Amino acid sequence: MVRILQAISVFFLILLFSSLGHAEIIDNTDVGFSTVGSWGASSSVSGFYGSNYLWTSSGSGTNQASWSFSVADGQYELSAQWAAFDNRASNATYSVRNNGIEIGTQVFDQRVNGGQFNAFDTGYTVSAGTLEVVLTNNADGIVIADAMQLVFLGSGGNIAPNGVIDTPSSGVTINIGDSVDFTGTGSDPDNNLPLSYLWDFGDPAIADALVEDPGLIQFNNVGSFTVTFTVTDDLGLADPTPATVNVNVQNPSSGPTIIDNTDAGFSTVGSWGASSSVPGFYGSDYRYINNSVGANTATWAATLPEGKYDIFAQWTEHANRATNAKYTIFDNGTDIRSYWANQRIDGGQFNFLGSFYLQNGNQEVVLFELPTMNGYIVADAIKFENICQADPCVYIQTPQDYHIQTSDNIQVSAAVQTQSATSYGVLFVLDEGSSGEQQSWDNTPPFNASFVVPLPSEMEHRIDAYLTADSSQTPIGGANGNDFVESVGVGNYLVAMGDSTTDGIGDDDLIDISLDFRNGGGGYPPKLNDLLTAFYNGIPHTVVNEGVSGARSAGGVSIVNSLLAKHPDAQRFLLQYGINDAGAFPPVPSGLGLNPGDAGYTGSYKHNLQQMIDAINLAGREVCLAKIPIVLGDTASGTQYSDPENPPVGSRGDYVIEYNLVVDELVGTPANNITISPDLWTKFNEIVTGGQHRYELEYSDNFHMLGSGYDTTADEWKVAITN
Amino acid sequence: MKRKKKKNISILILGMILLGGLCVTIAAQASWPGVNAIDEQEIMQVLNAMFDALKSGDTGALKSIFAGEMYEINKALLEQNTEYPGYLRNHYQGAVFTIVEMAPIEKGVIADINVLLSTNREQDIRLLLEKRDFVDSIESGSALSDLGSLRWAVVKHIQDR
Repeated sequence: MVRILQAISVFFLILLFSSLGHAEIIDNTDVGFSTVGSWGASSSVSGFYGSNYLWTSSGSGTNQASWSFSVADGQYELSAQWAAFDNRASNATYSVRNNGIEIGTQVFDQRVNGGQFNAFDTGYTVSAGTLEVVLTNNADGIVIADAMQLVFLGSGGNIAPNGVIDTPSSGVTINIGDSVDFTGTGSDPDNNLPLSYLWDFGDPAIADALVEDPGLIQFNNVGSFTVTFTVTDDLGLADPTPATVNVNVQNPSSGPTIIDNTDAGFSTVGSWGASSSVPGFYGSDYRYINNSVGANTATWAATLPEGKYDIFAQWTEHANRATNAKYTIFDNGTDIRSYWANQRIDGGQFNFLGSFYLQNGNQEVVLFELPTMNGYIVADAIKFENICQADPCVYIQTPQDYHIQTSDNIQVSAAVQTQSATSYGVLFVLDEGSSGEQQSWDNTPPFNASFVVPLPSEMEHRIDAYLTADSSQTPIGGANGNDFVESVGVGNYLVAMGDSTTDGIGDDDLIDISLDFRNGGGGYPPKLNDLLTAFYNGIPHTVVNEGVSGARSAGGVSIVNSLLAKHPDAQRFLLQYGINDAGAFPPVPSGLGLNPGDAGYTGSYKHNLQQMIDAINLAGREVCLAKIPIVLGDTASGTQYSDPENPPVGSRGDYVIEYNLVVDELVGTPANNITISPDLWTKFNEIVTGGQHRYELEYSDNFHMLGSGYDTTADEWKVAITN
Repeated sequence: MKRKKKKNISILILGMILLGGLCVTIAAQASWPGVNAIDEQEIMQVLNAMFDALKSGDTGALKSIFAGEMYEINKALLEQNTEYPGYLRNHYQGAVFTIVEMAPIEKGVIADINVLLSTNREQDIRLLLEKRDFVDSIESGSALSDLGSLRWAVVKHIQDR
């Protein structure tokens, strides 16, 4: 009877692995996975398999995780996946046990190579029964237990070869007619050489290649093709898990690219939940977060051909959503523009974020979970729609919508997309139909124009590009015979640097976007933009919010040069630092009364501000320096001082008062060239209607303002700037 | 009556013995849930070394305790400000540091510390500690040299934004 049962078991095991290359994966949520000791579940570091992973602190080995597979006689390959991070164990040790007997160990450095299955150094020959992999916390860092993959290599003495696709290293998206360079590497553990190679390019129209490096392969059909590279050894045993890579071939004039939250192009940082409880999502569900820690993101990544795209976002609306969900569009890593969405409305549809010229390469839309969010934010789907739906098609490359510059010379460039050999020209028109209309025609690519606008330029400009023949300035029309950009401004460019009182913590205004849509997300910058634009009779402004919640003045020093480079057109940098220095551990001395070279000066609050001032002046920009707003207690939500105007000696409020004396010294130093210095401490301490202090009415806690307080901050900056 | 009193005394003694045994057991275990005893011991050693360094103004010792953001943001003060040791000594002279709580998170341990300054002002501080490699900076004779190069470090002061 026992023998019959054994025979049946072996039969089923053989059936289970009846084909070479059968891969079985046991995730940390699957049957076959178990733990001993204390393990936490997390998804905060990306690169895990399935829905999450388990972690445990380093220890003596008492915490264990194990993956248990039922196996038949034969050779097997094991691979482990984890979420890599720099606090991980460099020596995570996996013990491989066959029917309870250890047959090998494998040590991995979990600080690297996350997000993929990492093959054990050797294959294992095992007997029928159980193959168990045990991971312990006897290691030098956090140990991650995620997923284990088992691949059946064969039952004889021959171990299967392996093939790796070297290029392209990941999936690519190309235009129809473009080529991709394919190279691969084959290897065989038991050296049954020579190896033979088979490349299947997925498109039946493309002949298979039989060499290791086939080189450039042209794709002439639209579609998504899985390219497979199979290596076979001299004994005829093929790689059971051939390497694959995806090639997405598109017609530039074809339909949109949609990336859902379940697609390969979507990724998250932080603990985002998945849900389908609120209707209006694209696909099967959506992701959400409301941690308000400000370090989490959802990213939709695409590889798009160069062109101009309308970009849309879909979410599910609910009263508990944020009204200031920030989507930022990146073109090959460069931040182009942000859009602040009100996710309490407009759910269940693709909402227009804007038109963007994107260079060929990697495009990303990133949804940021910021400390200033006022509700849940939802990450669902993003749609990229190429505006060129007809041939020929003209589109403006630069400037983009909402561009602002200080120079009166507006440089414009455009491209013509066509599959034909016909030559075209482009007629550029500035402010068509207005008294200031200007035209410029270019019949040779690259198509450019240069318009000089009279100053002061009290309006936003629109620029049209019309497709023409190369022999005539007359527009030839057509479905894509015209493109335009709008809200191109010649005006003033300011950058706000500081801490949470710049970033906008506590701001309770639901919609906080400047009237010109250039600035949003809360804090005083969008409000200041509106005030300055109104004061200067419509001359466009931008006040870019570069506030970082939690930042100290030393943090400002570390980023000032990169911000100067990031905003080459910015004329003024508004500095508002000190609240976090005043509560720092260990404390930050003020440097009051000290000057460069004095003992005790280096690293002080004064030294940090001076370094920022010097960097900004050196770059030829103007420094504007605010006095820190009054603080009401040592912590944001802790006990208030009985008299904030006269806080206890050594308290945060006391430090702020001393730091503001430093601001006086810096403003009073002629070489610093500071003429704009609003006194926010005095402003928020003033008595207003009803005999109350302003801070009693306009603060959300002991440090931060309500929306009305940010209105006041913006007004103080505006008064200081316009005076 | 006498017999009952005798019985009560026996129960009291037994209870005290059991309580004593329980206390010994608790003392032998980690004080904070989720933090293993070895880590807790090392963290306590690091924090106590930090308290001593603050009180004595030993900025060199603080350099071997701070890492990551905590080190970078205080680097100029610790390495170049010759008055800072005296500033720290003056600030923390007579201060009493109490570790209020430790809680593990995935990437480290959060430690809440209460500081009672000699001026009777209290400060509550939340620190993030992670294991970091000090292989290039380990100093012989340091209070932490017995912990080896890979050890717990204070990497961030967590503030109210």
